[in-house]
Amino acid sequence: MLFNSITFAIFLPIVFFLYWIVFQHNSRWQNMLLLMASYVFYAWVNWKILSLLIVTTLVFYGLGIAIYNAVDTKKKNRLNTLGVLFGLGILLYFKYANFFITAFKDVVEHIGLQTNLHTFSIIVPVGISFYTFRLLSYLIDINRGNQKPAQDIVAFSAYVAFFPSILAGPIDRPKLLLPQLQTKRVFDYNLAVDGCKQILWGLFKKAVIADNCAVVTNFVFDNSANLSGSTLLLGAVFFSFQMYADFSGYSDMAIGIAKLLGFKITQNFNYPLFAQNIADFWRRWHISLTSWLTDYVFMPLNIKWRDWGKKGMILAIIIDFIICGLWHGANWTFVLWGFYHGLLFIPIILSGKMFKKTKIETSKRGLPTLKTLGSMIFTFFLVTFGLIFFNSESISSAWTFVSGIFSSSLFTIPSRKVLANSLTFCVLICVLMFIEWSGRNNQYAIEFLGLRWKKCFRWAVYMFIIFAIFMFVKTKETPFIYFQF
Amino acid sequence: MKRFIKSIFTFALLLIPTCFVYLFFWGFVPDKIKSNLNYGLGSGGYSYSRLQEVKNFKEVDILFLGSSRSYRGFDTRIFNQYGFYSFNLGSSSQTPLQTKVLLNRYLDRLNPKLIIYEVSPEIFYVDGVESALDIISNDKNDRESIDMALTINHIKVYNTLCYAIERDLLHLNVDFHQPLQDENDTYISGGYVERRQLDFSDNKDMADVEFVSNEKQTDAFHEIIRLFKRQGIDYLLVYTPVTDDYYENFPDNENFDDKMKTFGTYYNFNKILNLDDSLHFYDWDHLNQAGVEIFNRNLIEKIKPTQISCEKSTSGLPIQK
Repeated sequence: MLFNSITFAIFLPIVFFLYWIVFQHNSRWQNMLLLMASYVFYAWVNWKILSLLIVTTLVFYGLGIAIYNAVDTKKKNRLNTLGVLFGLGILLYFKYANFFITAFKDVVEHIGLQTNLHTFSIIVPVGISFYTFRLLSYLIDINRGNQKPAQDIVAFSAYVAFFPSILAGPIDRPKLLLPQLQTKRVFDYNLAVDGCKQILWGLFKKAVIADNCAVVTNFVFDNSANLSGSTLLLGAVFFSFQMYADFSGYSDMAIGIAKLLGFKITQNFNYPLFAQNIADFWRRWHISLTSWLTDYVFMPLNIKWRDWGKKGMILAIIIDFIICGLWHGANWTFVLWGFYHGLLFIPIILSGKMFKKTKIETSKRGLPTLKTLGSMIFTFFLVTFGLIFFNSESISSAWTFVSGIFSSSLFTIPSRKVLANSLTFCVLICVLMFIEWSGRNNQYAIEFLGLRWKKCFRWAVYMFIIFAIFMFVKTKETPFIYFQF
Repeated sequence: MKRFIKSIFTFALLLIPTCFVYLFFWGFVPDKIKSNLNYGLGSGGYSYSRLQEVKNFKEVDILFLGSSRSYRGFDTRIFNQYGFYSFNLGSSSQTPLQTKVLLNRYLDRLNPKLIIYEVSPEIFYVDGVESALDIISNDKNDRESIDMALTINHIKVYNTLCYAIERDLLHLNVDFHQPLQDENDTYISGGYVERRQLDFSDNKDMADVEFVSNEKQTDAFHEIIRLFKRQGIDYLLVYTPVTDDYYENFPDNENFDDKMKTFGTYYNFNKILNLDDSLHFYDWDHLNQAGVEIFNRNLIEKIKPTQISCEKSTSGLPIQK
């Protein structure tokens, strides 16, 4: 079930009604409803994969209690390792088995040997990367003593399968969401209204910006071998906006839906288009994944290799980003994308600015200073370059794309077909950038938009956003890019 | 909670009229930006003029239906020469879904003795959006339009229909007048559009059609045939001539012929006539005037022996309101 589908538009009000009106006074029943709704939501994609989610949840629930009750540290660590191996094993099997088999086969055949290895026919369960990471953090945090295990299996299962975020995040930590599921919830008018606004803004970004940019980017990436450098560059730039609007749009909708149900979940984006260097970018982009990898991959490695100084940190960040790349999918393009981002960190680490937060400097008119703007544009193009690998089917097609950009045809007029569509998209992107810039200090751009205005004017703005969605939405429902991960 | 539900309902209630206000102003935005609003009043195929004129016609001998190949392929002047008082109710990319709407609106009034329905494999594949927008923009909108929009279920059709209804209600089209001649075409009374261009220009892309049968179109086509039979109207199904390349573009012309024959009298003029692509067409699928002359006279030879005779014809000037 997609957030931008008619089915979901029917599903959500039903859940909302039952949750706040029928089961209002009993949080356990509310959790039960949430769990059932989450399972229905998840099974809607493919009911066959629901059993895996249930089994994995039960195993981690049991392991969490076992780790907590174990007196001996060694036993705790053994159980923790078992759980981590189980979680990663499931992820590796369903998502990466064929990738590693093919890679192994290629290596073996390259050195002249024959193998009888065959790839499996496996359905990759949607959202597996998200809920596995959620479960792993639960177990590791219990082992580290940062988290108590959930006693209520319904609340725990609802945390794992929480429908607003199961398919594409945010990857909520147990310490944030579990306590909310274990306490009584009272309907908060302001939170619900805030949720509606955030859903609206997310839908705008998805339906108006992302899906319209996709018209150009799909064409450009599908025909990269035959297009001029200027067209490819335009396509790559559009893809950056599409990617941001698509994923942040999804995240806004997920957070908004959670707010409607009385939950506050992790903020996943903080205006990454205004990042001034790559470290700043990763503090603003897919925050829940970045912080997860920082806590469970980068920091342990960095501590382990601290004696190596900056070299150890560089190695830790490169490994961290290769894992980040692999997390996105079983393809060498993702590995290369991760490695590329790891490399981009080297100058930042060497200059000692790794953990330094960057402030956006503005002029008296409220616009970014020239230096800030230059840094933003430079960072944007660094990210855009990486996304070419991210969105290509193979390294060779990514290479074709990149070499196409850096050819003499870069200085020609872009393809007529792309240009014909570009005017509308440029206008839409300018609107997006203006609103995002104006609201950059808030959780989402329209959070405080017009709060001081009269209600009728504020509502008129929200209605215009809805109107714009009708004017630009594609008739066919388009899945979110991050659903594939 | 009550306050929230009250707010949501109030918002939803106000949303509809507010969107209509926005829609009105959105109409002034340049066409290139109006992604999901394609209101083409007086658009290329002279649908506006034709649908205005049809209201002055009644009791015709022959009614032509179909796409641009109909209104650019059946010259009512030639049929008039043979004593057939006729009207061409073709419209751009007309598919069975739109044919059904137009028949429900005008069939009783026109009461034709014979219907010549231009058919091609294309009409069973396309979604009908383009033609729906054409009809919505250029004709009055009624229950038929709403039914058609619901059947097609496309956001562009919904938006354009809302905008068209708004314009109808505000009488914004009252002063509209479509010139009957432009750079290339002349609108001929009776619905035909004459293209002055004689040479073939292939600068238009070949139809990019996805060959997936559209059940809605098939159902609508069956309904149309049932309607003809129910009303006892004779009809001919005609596959008008197209260029060889265009004809070959469709994968199963033979099956299409067989299928059409099961519905009634059917002529595939791509097999009957041997026209020259460069002499008789002005683009991939439209005849030039020379081609139209040959095609129409050949068609008239075929319909002469039918029950429509010159004696019965009511040929003459259109009846004015």
